Amino acid sequence: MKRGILLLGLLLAAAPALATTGVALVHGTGHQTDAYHDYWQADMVESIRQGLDDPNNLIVVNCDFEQYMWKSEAAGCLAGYLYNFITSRGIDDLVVITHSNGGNVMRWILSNPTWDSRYPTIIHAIRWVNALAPSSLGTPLADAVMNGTVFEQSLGWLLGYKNDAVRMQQTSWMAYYNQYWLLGTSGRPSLPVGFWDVVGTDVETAVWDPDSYCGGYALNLGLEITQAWLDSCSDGFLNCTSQAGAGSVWFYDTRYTDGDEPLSHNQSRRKCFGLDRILRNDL
Amino acid sequence: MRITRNIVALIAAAALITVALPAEAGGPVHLLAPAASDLAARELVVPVETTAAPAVSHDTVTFAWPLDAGTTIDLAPAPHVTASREYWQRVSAAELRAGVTLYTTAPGALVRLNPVRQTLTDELVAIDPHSLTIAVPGGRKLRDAEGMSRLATADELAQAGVPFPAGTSAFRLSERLGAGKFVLQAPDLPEDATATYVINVFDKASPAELRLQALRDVVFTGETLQARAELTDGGAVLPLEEIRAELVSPDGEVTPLETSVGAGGTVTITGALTRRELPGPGLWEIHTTAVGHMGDLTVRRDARTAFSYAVPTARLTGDAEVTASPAGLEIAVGVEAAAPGRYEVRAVLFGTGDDGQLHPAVRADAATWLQAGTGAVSLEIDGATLAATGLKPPFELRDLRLMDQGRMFVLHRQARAAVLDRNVLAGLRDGEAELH
Repeated sequence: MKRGILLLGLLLAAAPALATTGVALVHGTGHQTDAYHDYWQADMVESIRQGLDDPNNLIVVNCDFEQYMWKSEAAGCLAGYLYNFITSRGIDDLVVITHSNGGNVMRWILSNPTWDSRYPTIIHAIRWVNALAPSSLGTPLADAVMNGTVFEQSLGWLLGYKNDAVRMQQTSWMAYYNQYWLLGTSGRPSLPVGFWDVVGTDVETAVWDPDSYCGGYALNLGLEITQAWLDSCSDGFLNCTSQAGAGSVWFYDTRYTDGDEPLSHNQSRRKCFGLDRILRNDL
Repeated sequence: MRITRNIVALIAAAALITVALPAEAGGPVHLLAPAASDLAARELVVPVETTAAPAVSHDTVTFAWPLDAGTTIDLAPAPHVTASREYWQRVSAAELRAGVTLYTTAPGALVRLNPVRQTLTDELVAIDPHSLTIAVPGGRKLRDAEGMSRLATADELAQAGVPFPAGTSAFRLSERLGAGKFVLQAPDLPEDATATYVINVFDKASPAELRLQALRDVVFTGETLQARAELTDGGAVLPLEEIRAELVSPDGEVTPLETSVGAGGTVTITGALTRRELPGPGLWEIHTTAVGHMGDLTVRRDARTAFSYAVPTARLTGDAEVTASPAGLEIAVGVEAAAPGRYEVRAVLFGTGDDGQLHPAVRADAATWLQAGTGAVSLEIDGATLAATGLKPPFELRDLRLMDQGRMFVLHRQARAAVLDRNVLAGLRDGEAELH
């Protein structure tokens, strides 16, 4: 405690009064080419942007997160975006906002600082990561997806579902990666920067409830169905235990959302129930 | 309040704390022998690389950061245990048209089915759950979704954004039906349909689990894979009627594994791992299928667990060279490589606190390109960073790991690797600091 107070005091003495703050939005599983419109939607991005002194200091990443997290198309692509952003705009106080598997790809960079010479520069510039519904411990639904395909040796992956990111998010796979290649889970060394989880705890859909339409009613209805395969505390894709599995919990959704509304896995990336305002004010 | 752990700020701030400046010191250190619970590549193997190795950097990169002294680090982690309450079954369209028996041991089981291709040109024909019939014990047939709750068509499931295979539909058996044997039938499937279907039964409310654990989550070439499995009711081991196990490689090669049921009902699974050519990235899996009984009910369970099959491309020599000065600590860890590659050493430096106990101080990583032969990978810990932790000698190097970054192999994991006492660290003034 005494050491912590001393360091905190020195930290404040060296506080970033002249820091240049930036925000990076990192999508989840999928190959994105226009995440601004397709993944986050403009109203979410523009609301978060209002929290910046310089509104130009925001980037929306577009990478191929259908790959294993360590591949050049995934972590390599993400590193490229962040490194170029930091160095070209002089960002030294970067807040990274991730969603779902984007949290794993970001955690790869933080956990493997010697993988790529750009990584230390990126890590040094990060204030913290706000991980929205991260799939830190994987999900039983990834196991369900993989087990539902028939893996025939003669035809290899052509018959299977060719998405390495889904394969990676199976629960026993993530257990291995968390033990050997990722940090921040229970029993492992901590990450070099804060990794703060926002946990979605439920999916609520009702035709007469306007809250069910935030993010898209059909999407939320689908998640309410898939929730049957998960624990009662889940967002339709991830159990709460997975979302809270790495780093530290910032908050469980209903603690701060408008109307104490839960965030489905779809809603946790959209301008729903004041989430955008919470993220904006955090800057 | 969330506290920023910004490395630059910490080091810049910690630079205000200075350490007195005696001369550089250090010397050779022989690492402790790995314990039985550690992981160590003993024999080197040159890998057979059938595909082009991924491009990896030849840069030498080091990084270290302070840890919270209260952090608990598990130095002898146990491999993951998969606990399954479900099973999968592959059936032909003809079998599904005639009727397939489902086995449940608790009310409200979830059933999912999807078409799969046997050839690239097979047509995927989804089945609407409303068209299915369920025959309950006693023979009565339920139609038109009677006996089902929470139906989901393929289109509805697709909306969830979960990448279920195309054509997946699902339903829950009504709880009022209880548990036991049910016959699922798709009478509307055309007689000439050639599709194959996978049926998944998730017995969510059941206490019966198939628990599967690999005894090690990293296995080296030439070693024997070992795993254990148990069918339990949450407490007691259940009697087994049948169990099978297979090894599945990342590129889909399937190899049967030996199973042996012990007196207590625990199953030992073994198999030799001899493959030297690398099948690409991804983990290997153990797949098990079990049939047993819980009272009068038949229990069917499938379980899978992943592990890494590593070709031991490098190993630690057992020696290190420590250089200690006010600038910091450098630990050059000896590595012998069978093949060129990018090798990384990681470790946690523990230091002694005012309570006389060892606490985590700093995590240090270093990676570099090594040619085949003997070399070293050097951990570097900045003196200011170390001084700022307030922890003092003796230090211990713990959780020492050697990784092959390019091939994604874990080659060494050692709980306690070295003791760095005051003699070795004479170059660091014993933790004292002056604030300027």
